[in-house]
Amino acid sequence: MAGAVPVLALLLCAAPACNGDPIYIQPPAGIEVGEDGAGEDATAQLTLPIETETQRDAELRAELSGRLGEAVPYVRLDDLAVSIEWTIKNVSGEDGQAVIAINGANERYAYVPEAFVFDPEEDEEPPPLLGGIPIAVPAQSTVSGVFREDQVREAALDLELITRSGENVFQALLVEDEELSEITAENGGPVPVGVTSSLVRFDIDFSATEHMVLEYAIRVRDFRGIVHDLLLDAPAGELSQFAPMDFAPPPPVDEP
Amino acid sequence: MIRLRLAFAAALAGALCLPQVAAARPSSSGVYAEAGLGAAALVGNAGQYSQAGFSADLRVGYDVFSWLAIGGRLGIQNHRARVPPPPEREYYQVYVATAEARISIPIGALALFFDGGVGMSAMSTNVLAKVDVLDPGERASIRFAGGGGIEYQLQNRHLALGLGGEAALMPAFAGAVSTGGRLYLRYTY
Repeated sequence: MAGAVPVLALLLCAAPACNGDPIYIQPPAGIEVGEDGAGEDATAQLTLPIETETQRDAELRAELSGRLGEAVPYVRLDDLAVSIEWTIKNVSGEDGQAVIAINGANERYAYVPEAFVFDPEEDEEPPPLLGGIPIAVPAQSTVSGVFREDQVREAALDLELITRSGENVFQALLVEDEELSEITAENGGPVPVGVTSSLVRFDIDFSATEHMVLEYAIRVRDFRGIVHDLLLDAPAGELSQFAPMDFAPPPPVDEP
Repeated sequence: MIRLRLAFAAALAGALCLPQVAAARPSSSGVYAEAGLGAAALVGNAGQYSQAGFSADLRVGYDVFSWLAIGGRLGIQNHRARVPPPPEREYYQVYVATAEARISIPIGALALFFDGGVGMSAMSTNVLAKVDVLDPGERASIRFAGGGGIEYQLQNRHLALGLGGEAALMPAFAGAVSTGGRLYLRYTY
């Protein structure tokens, strides 16, 4: 009987903190387009509410960086499993099409497709990290879907391949990297995929041919306990302030 | 004549006497463990956004007297969230841990019981935050529970089967009330 008490206490404490339990981050508002006519688009940006790095975490990261000989990010690919659930409501009386295009940023770089267009007449703009596919939405109806965890993980890895490994943007985005176990870093050394950067910011672009509203929620499974409990209500001082740069690829070298 | 009247009075009294309560079936008393399976539903604001689901409980305790037991309980309830999408088709769990007391009234092989307890409930996700059932960062609530049921003592003095019901108030979850029933097997050592 006496032995049962600590077991009960342990189970009670452990149960609500299961690592695999998802957290839902709801943006303050959806994205509405086409209110004044067709062809509009709008973008919303959501940064994950990641707690500031503790001294202990910083020390462990520095140690890991030293061992790999390569900078290791604070928020790593294996720390979070992120998916994005969405619903599009066509509030007009006409059938229409909508496109959700999701780009984003890790701690260091943001992916901006326009940056890869050096010559507008020659260069094709690369696709977004996620989405970019037209979705048919009948009049006065709702369509929903999800960008799955594996797709968001693939997008994060694609950004790393583009920015750290110098891979061609089309190759990185169009080839699946599911089986990849390590990438090549700037210094030429291998970096295990699990310690590459996770996406920490999502730039959600929504366009539609009719008056539509996009609602979305970001679902996060936080394996390391780094997402702030208060989510978007957390005080700014308790959150990591990421300042990723827009990635600028090197200009193409002219053939002699 | 007087004897005849006394005999008649005694016979009448015997005939009118209420049936005697059947003696309780022999059963073990002391430390017990109980496993239950059932269903639970939330009512109130939280219930509007949750479907009923299965529940499971484990209880351990001690029979202080033949009619009074105290113990602890760990449980889980599984519900499907019905918040306005997104998200949709998402499930969440309510974890339960309470200290409980139970009063039993044995009637032959059966026993009526009433139980109550105080403890904690915790939700596995914040999916109901979208509909203000949970405040930001809030995932746990104190839990006040009360219920009752009926228990059947098997021929084996260690084992009993029972059917119970419960209502529990979780004030921090927008005053959600969890109601449920369970079928259980109890083993007393």
